[in-house]
Amino acid sequence: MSNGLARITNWYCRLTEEGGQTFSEVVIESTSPFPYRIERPGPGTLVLVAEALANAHPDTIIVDDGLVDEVSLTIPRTGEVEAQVKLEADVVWEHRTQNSLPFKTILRFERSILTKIFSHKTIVIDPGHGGADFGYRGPVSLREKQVTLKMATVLNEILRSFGAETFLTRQQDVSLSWQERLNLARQKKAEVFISLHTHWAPDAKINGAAVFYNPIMPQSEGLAREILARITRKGKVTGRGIAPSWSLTELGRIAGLIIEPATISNWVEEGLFRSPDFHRKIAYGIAVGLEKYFAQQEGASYAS
Amino acid sequence: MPLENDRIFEGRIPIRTHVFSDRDDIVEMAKKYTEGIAGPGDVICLAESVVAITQGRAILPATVKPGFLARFLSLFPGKDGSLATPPAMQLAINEVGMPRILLGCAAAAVGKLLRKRGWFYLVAGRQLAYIDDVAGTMYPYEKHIILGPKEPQKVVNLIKQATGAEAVIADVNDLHRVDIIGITNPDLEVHVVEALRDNPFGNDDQQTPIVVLKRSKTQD
Repeated sequence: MSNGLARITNWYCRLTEEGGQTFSEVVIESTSPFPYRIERPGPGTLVLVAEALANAHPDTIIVDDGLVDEVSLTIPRTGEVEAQVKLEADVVWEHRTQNSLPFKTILRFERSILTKIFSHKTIVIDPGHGGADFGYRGPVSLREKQVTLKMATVLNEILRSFGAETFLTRQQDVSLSWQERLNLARQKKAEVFISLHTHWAPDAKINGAAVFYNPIMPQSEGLAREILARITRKGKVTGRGIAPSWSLTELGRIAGLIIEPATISNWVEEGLFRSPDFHRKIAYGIAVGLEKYFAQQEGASYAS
Repeated sequence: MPLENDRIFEGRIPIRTHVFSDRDDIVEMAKKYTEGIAGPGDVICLAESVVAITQGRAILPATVKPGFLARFLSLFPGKDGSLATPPAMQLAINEVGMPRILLGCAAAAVGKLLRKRGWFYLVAGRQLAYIDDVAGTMYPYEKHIILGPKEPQKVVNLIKQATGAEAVIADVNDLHRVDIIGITNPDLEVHVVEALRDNPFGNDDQQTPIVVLKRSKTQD
């Protein structure tokens, strides 16, 4: 297929499950097997050095799946390709190959550290609006109540896969008062309450994400900042900043957030709100922000 | 991934590329990224949106001034599809002309009564179905409307000339619909459609707009 050396064609990161355990896998695809060695230049970094050619464009992928931060492919010299993996924490890993076309070389990282961080954590997720309360409406008539429910469903799945105990204030198109939503967080003794909304502005040019926090819970502000940073990076949206929300103060010592991942009155961002990919990216951004928050709370040795 | 069943391709190789722009020559890019991988008998598949992008057919909605008709007609298509925004509808009008769009609308209305879908595109032009509205394409083009590629058959013929491999331009979506827009060997179409059905072009995290289908050695 090639003159001697294998050709690397693609690389990506995926989540897999085996024997009840979840893993982050960095997969390097090539036309055939290639000789490689693995180096550890420092904590939280792993480099696979391959004797191969690269047809794939050398680049960096932002993964941000809670464990793998990013993966970069570089070509230091002809016939050598380096794949550098940056991790949020030092974890157990292994490497393996899969004989197929394309051939796969796989770096596999155990995600049990996430389960430890999220175990015994209760999170209440509130899809904003619902029922007769439609919320805001986009220029192509997307309704806020539909988007918030879709995003909440994805976030719920991801947080459960991280090991958290989660509750949704609504799973269907029903009306709930703000008090009912807050009550669920209090009843469940939640660590975090997350209410999902969309921003709306009379000027259709305004766009971006914002996070509002419970001002009487001091750690909420840091959590809001972390989540905004993650969702803007992952969702590739502009940040409109963080701000206190007095409607969350009734939560008392529960960290409460109102998250607006984008602006529904903006044509482009209304389009983003229709995309399941966008929902997934925002959900991962929130989940990784929570992970950092819980790790800090517990003083875990983290982010090497 | 290896393809299941007794198909004529033994494997499917997605290739990660840079983000294409109108400064790229799609034939040159196809040749560069498939060098040493695709040969005679293999098929180089290109996502239609990247072909269009290299042809300068990515349009920012802010640069389009939708007229009354575009604003009115954009109220009717399904909201998760194309032509749902006034700028996209205006670009469709610019592509095929107002009379054809109006005839397409009349056909769609009749089709609706008879519960038949797709009559708008049948009359107004299939190329309008390849328009990706805002947020319909991978980053950093999610803020653009992407028109369908120009002269797709000429592009695939040039790629075959440059590489020796067969070439295809396809529109694939995540609902497993595959439209072949240009193909050098029509006899392969049914096999190519099957091989692309689960959208190996992927999303913006995957960035693999070129896919090589390797012909089984027994089929050579």
